[in-house]
Amino acid sequence: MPIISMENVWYTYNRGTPIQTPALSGLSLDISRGGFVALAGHTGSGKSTVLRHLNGLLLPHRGRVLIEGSDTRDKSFRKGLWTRVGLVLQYPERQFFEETVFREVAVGPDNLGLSPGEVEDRVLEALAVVGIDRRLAKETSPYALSGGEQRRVALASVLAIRPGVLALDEPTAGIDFRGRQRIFEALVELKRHQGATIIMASHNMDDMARMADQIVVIKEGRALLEGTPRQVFASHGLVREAGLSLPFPSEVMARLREKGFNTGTPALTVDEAAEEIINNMGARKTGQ
Amino acid sequence: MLGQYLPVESAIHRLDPRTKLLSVFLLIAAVIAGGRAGMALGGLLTAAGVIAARLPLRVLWRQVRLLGLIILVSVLFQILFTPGAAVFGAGPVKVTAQGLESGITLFVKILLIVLAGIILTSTTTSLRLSSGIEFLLKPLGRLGLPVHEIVMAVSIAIRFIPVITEEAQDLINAQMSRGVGFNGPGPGRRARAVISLVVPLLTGVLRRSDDLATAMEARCYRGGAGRTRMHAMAFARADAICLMLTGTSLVAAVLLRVTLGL
Repeated sequence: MPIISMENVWYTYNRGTPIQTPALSGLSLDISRGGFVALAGHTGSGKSTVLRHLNGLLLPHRGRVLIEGSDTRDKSFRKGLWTRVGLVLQYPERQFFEETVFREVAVGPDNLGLSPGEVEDRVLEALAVVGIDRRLAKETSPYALSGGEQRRVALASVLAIRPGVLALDEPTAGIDFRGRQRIFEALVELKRHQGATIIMASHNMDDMARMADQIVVIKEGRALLEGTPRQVFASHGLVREAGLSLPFPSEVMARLREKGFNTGTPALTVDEAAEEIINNMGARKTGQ
Repeated sequence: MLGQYLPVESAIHRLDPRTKLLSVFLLIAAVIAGGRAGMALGGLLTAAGVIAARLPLRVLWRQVRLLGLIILVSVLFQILFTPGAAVFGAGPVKVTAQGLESGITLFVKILLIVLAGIILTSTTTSLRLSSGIEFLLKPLGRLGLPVHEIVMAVSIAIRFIPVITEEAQDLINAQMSRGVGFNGPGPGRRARAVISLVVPLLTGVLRRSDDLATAMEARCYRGGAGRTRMHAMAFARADAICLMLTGTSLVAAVLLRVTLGL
């Protein structure tokens, strides 16, 4: 059974007013336990709306969302849903309100009603996963950290709840290369060692090619394309139609193919692309 | 939301903002100073305005409802506490004929004023509205009042209402995702929930205003002196007709009231 299943979900913002905007138009999606799924889509495609359906912040106007088999429209189930599905919204560092990093990360575990010792365990573990120095945590204000560190503290504040599913909205937006690496290291660690299911909305195709084992391309509130990164990037026509670019190595290979070179499967990494090019060095253009 | 702009194509939307401001002013004057004739003419003009602006009744009703309590309370006070001959009543509570009459009058007046305001705000973007206000307040500039700067500050404040509303909604979502209960039990938890909303919201407002000030300075904003507009306001025939209608109504209502005592 998939851990998350969205069945023909429709959602419209400001429904019934002249400024209503449809966000999801019959979107269906299955996510299996332990997967790393990337939601790819242009701005306004409905990625963020999908994520807000996963922990019950939004309820479908039509269709249904099942988490571990239970419907999010069930009120008593929804009440505890935040402990199962952790949601990290865009620019999560803007939600800080506590005086220290430690207190900020402890917000979630505190709300679980755990003992102070257990709260401390969870906070320190979450900080370790995202690579924030625990000695800093008790004296430093979260606002005193750098942008990349703030983002990781915000991530830790959701990880400390220990949700089985982690949903992230553009977790690396506005973060430098080094900071991005550290966030991805944390996500890989979660997936490998704690078996978490991760759903990430993004429009950075290079990140997705590297991280995800399933990509869902969303266009106008529907799933346009779905598969492994290799399958998805092989249909570069559809990917472009969704307003997205290919990852850089795949883009290079796709253009070479358009020029008549016989390059095989789409390369996901620079190394793969380099190998393909070397293998093709002697090959002639097929048209000649 | 009260005062929300509705992006629809209509004759009223196309009117010059100065015309709309003046017309609403004239209409309100007619309703207040024109007695029954003023209310009748004002009612006709308001109805015509709603139709010409193509405002859906449902949207209108939603906005009026927001002020429902204030209207209801003031009308009730008027009905219950006007002295005169009692029509009916029980014990200390009595309803007088005079009270009933002034209550209904007050209800109609408030309703018309509110509707006129709604027509104005739902057909005029805040940018055009503030250009209009700035133009009309220009004479005060001679008295040394920084009209442009005041209008700029007010219109920035208005412009940011939807932005900050959205940010507040995002924050509520984010904190709820960390289990912060906004209607959970216990005053302590609820106070914490409020803090978790207010602190980041305030930080956000300060961050935004700082960014905005920098952006304005980077574009060499220097206040009103010598400033031109990208969209110049233009007075058209429709504006003349609109002003004539509202102006004549005011004059007619006052004349009718003075001469015939209506």
